Amino acid sequence: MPGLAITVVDRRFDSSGKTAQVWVPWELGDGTVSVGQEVRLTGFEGEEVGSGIVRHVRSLKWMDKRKMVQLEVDSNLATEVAGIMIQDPEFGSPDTYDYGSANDQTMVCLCERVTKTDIARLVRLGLRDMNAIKAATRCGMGACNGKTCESLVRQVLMEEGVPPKSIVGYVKRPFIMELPLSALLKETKQ
Amino acid sequence: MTDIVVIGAGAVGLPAAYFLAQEGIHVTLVDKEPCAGQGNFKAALGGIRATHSDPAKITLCLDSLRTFSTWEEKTGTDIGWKMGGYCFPVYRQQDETTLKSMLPIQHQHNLKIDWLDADGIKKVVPGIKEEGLIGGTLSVEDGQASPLLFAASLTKECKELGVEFRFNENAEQVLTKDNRVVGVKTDKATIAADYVLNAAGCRAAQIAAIANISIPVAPDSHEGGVSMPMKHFLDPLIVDLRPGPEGRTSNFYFGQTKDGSIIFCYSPSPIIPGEDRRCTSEFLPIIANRMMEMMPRLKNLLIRRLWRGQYPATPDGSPILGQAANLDGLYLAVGMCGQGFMMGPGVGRNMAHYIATGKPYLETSLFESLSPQRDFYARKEALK
Repeated sequence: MPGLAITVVDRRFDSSGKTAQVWVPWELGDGTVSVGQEVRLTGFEGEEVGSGIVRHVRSLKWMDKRKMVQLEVDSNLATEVAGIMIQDPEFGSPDTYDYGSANDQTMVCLCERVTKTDIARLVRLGLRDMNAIKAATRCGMGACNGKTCESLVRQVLMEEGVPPKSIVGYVKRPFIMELPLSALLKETKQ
Repeated sequence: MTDIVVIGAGAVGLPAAYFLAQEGIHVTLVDKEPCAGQGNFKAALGGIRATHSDPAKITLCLDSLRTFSTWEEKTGTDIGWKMGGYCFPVYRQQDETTLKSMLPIQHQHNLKIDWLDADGIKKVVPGIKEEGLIGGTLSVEDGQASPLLFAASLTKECKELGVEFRFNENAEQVLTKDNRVVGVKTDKATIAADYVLNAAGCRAAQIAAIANISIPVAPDSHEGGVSMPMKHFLDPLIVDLRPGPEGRTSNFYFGQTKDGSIIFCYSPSPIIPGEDRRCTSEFLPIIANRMMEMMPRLKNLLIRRLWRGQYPATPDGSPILGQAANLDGLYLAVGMCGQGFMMGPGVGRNMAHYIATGKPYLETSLFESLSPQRDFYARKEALK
């Protein structure tokens, strides 16, 4: 809604006083508003205030490319109207999509540095087997051997709406902690 | 309606599906597990060698190596590929004789492999026990990759090529009509198809049986382990062909992955038949002794995780590839003898071309040496 912060309100045309004519400046190109069209109206802060009907589009040579648009509006709105909104209201509205876990950088696996986002992305690709998630991310293959992340990965799957019954858990493997090779030597040699 | 049902989304079935789809064939993959690679694919250690004694296996694995080494370039996905070679250090005269006798055939089939003296081996295997070291072979273009990453990447690529996955589904019967395959009946559905590929790994014999075919594939168990990652110091995978002094190992092998972990495994002696995948308490003390004997510097290595998997073994140590004799449309890519990961892409590419065109890429005589109709007791792979 480009224009100056100046409008002209003319209440002479409707003797009942229900409507008023408001002139607003208009700087967008030809054809963006046309006579008889119902348009959405904006106030001085760009907020939407109601609707009106275009009665006249005036374009004179000395006005360069600027036009004057005459709008018929509800009399009560007349002094609030400052411009016209022609953009689709959906366009440019804030993104309200819920990213949930997919936008969460919380660490699920500290050993291999795997975040909730990493897991959620794979779940959204259709993975339900925690072993497939493990294979793709190394989540659960670090020094703790999956002690920490197992329940967390399961939790992310559930937060993503996966029914607990269709979740396949980790295959458990020894050890529960890392052991040096020398600790495992057979003593028969001594 | 699908063109082919591949039974088994594992080390062989996945690459086969991938190459079949690239041949323009519509593939349906059936697997009883909840996702791809959950059988023995993920139990593989990740070594990829064309260092074999059998010309067909050498050629198939050279083919695989081309897929592994160019995978990241082609798909943009890192599968942990590392071209570090395979090294067979030798401490016994008889092993020197065995390995040297294979060199002419290996060279003839384009394998880059050389015999190194003891000093040469010491250079490529820093810290190896010097006492009694005679020398050994090094095949520099062999390598390693991560079976887990490769399975995940293959699954993604297959989906993009339109392969249909059916998980948690058990193939129960191969449907036939006038001695021709017409589909597969599973516990959940009947899938009409012109062809069936048995790529069921350790369950290959059971799956063959649902088509009334008998094949000599029997699983035996092996355990493996992995350490914490450490600074890279070891390029090749090391295979020690000596049996262990404890009387339980016929050889053992270890190496360092691209991410720095040390991976290790041995071949039990006698073999342990069966499909039990629980780890034993026996494995680690035995392999700890063997690794420390050969490379004492590993004493502080922190061992992180162990697992157990099965080799789908054939009597002669070579895979079974080809078409079933008595049933049109039934193909077999089974009996990888623990080398499904390294042979998978080569086998998959050849089987796909064979199914699509009637001809594999492999020379006919080599392909036929792996036929399901061969004499399984005529010869034996020297480097099983």
